[in-house]
Amino acid sequence: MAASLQLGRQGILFGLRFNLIKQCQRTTTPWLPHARTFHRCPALLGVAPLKVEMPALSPTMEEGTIVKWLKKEGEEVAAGDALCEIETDKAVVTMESSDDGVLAKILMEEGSRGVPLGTLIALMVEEGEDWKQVEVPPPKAPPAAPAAAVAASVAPPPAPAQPPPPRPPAVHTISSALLRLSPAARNILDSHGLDPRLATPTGPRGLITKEDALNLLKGTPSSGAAVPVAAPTAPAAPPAYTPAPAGPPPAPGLRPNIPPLSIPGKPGAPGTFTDLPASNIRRIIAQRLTESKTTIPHAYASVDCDMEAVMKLRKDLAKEQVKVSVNDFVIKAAAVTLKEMPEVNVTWSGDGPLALDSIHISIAVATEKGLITPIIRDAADMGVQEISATAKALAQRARDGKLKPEEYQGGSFSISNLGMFGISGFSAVINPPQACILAVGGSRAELRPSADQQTLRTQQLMTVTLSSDGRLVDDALASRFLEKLRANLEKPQRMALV
Amino acid sequence: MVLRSLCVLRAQAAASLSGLPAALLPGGSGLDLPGSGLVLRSLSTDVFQNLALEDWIHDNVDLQSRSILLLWRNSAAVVVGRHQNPWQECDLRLMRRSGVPVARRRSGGGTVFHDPGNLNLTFFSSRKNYDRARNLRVVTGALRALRPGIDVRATDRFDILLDGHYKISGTAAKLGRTAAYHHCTLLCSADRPLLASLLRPTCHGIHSNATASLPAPVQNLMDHDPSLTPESITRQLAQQYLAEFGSGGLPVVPVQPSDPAFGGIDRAAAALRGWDWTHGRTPRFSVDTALELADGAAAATASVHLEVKAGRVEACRLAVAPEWLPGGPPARLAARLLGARFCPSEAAAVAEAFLRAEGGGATGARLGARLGDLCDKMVALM
Repeated sequence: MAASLQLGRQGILFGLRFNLIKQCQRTTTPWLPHARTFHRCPALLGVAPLKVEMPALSPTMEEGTIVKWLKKEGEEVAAGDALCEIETDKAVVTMESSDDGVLAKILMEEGSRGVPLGTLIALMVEEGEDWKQVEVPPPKAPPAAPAAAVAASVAPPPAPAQPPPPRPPAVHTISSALLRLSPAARNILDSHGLDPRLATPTGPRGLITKEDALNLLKGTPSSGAAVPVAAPTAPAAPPAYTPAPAGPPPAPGLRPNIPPLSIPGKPGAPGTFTDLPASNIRRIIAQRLTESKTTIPHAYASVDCDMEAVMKLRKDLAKEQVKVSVNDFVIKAAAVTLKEMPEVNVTWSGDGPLALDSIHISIAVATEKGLITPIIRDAADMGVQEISATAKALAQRARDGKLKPEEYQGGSFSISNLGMFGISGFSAVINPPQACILAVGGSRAELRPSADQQTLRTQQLMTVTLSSDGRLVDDALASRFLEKLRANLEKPQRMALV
Repeated sequence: MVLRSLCVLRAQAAASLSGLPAALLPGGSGLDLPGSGLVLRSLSTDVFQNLALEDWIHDNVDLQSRSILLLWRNSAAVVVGRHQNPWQECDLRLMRRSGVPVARRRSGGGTVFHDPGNLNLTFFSSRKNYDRARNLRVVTGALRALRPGIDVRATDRFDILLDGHYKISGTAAKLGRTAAYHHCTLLCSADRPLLASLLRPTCHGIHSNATASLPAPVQNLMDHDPSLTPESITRQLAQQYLAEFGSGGLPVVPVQPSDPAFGGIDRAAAALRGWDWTHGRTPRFSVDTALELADGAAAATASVHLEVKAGRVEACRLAVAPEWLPGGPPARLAARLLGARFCPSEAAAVAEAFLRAEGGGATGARLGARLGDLCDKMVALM
């Protein structure tokens, strides 16, 4: 099923590629005006293949072994025909083809063990195409490393490089003294506007082959070189290619395929910028913020809370030498409200809400390394004093960089308070996989008409903005949550009831 | 005619076999069988015939609307998985001496020892209804019905463990285009000492991509409880299966694979018995080992490197200390072995021809004896 979906999509892509090839046919070569362009037909460029990839034959399958190919290269395959037998998880499964065509090339031979899902195992071409001319895709560049340290490893090359397609004998070739290009190479250099003089020829008698053109396109002199990967702790994506720092600037008029980078020691040329080396933590924060903002649909709701009662309570407690901050009350109120409304205490489990059974509040602490969110566990069961003490201790440890992983991983709800910086209100970015984050501003005095509409009174208003995951906590639920939160903050004694 | 024989089946518990295969084949007559579960019991104890019967049912019976359970028992044999290396899995020399054949099944997984005390169950279903966990629930349910309180559990690798750590059943499966089968063993009263001695590989130094078996401690169900005999378990399994999958009111139907109604089973069994399938189908492997040579009191070692593809020697390198044997004869022996089957009888024939050819030359008796020893050890490797 999955294989057929993949091949179906590949079929569409194949059709589009075919169109692209047709479009490239008519471009002329500007730097060789004396050359006669000959009619190029797509067959010379190699036939775009239908990819056959290792399918997922069971929900838990991660890799398989090719036991036997039931079709040979060049043999016709009808949709539904058995292509090969794959062993996985003690079962030998017959894999069917989901397309009509001809099996062009077997990339993973019989006996190949531990072939991961999605690996290219064979290539097919549509019926009527010349299967011998199938384009074998070049070896893939190794993907960005996972958190574990990896050695620079090259994926096993699928097949030896295809020899340059035969040139028709009636062609008037370009002056052989200067440049010899294979038709595929010329097409590639043409369509990307590259100077063939920059390519290093590796074909016989100085022929610039398709591979040389592809290498020039990629910008690396050696093909298949593995890019060594970044530090183990940060799952950072390495750049797709490393530009030579001391290479000559690209010739004017030609489209550069490498973005300009400032070179240390040289005065800043116009259009250059300085790279500040990013610390590990900043890199992770950057990655997670991007992931959050791009994958989670944020919904925002704000409410103003009258902090008079909280302020009064705080003052009373201060008289008894108990020091708590407004933020501690906010944490307690949020925890209590979550207890009253467990439908907000959820995380996204991949395809639906997953209710959490405990209330752990993450508090945002600004450190010089970046924003860290240590967790106050079971905040709803703690008193405000306990919350205050815990928050202070966690903040100190966060600034010292001494937090244990379980102290900042997890959490069901986050609170970020910028009131002490004079911010009146803001919206925060959700910490995945949590559902909400509460952004607390500073309190300000406002004149409001009092209840009897006769006099004005000063109210200490504090704006809180809830950013919630629209899939889990929609606007209606967020509004109800904020209503309750406001009620809890404006009447702190309610919090003792829950 | 078909319907009448079905009625005969229902009336008596005896099997009227000529009607049965026709009833199971697609083409309409099979639809007369109500209910969707059917239990068959093979009367043959030949592992190759039973494996061929399994394949026949998989290929020829319409399994879209019906599921079948086939119960079978074999005389002693070692059955390896489709992608396995028999040299790596069992003691082939001991098996040849004891007359225990090696068979290769079409499903994946590891090596098992079969004998009359080991019950085999094959659950046939359509590919959509392939559910190994459900099948194993039938087995554990049957065992619990026979002996309440027995601790049998299916693991996530679809093994069944007794008392938490003795393996009594292993599973393998084959999924075809439209149908699938899942078969498993059930250790009732197998010959455990024989099992242990046969499943001990003697050819060391093999490097291969073949599927490896995972050895596990085993126990017979009959040792745990004497009432759990293969016969009682068979009866209970049939009952449990029909309860789970729907019964057609038919009792367990005995089936004789050699019945001509099952067209082609004998030919299939012969193909499964052949060396090309049992040994030749091994994925390519190499052997790197050392041979202990002796000549009276003196001793030496020879290092051997062999590459075997499709059961035939593709490359062979023999290195012996020059003071023991001159370099010529071992190299010539290695050259002769190329293309020969990796099997002792053929290797012995090659060695025989080699020794005769060498013996014609000016080699002394001592050298001849050493060469003979080398040949014997090479043959013993296979």
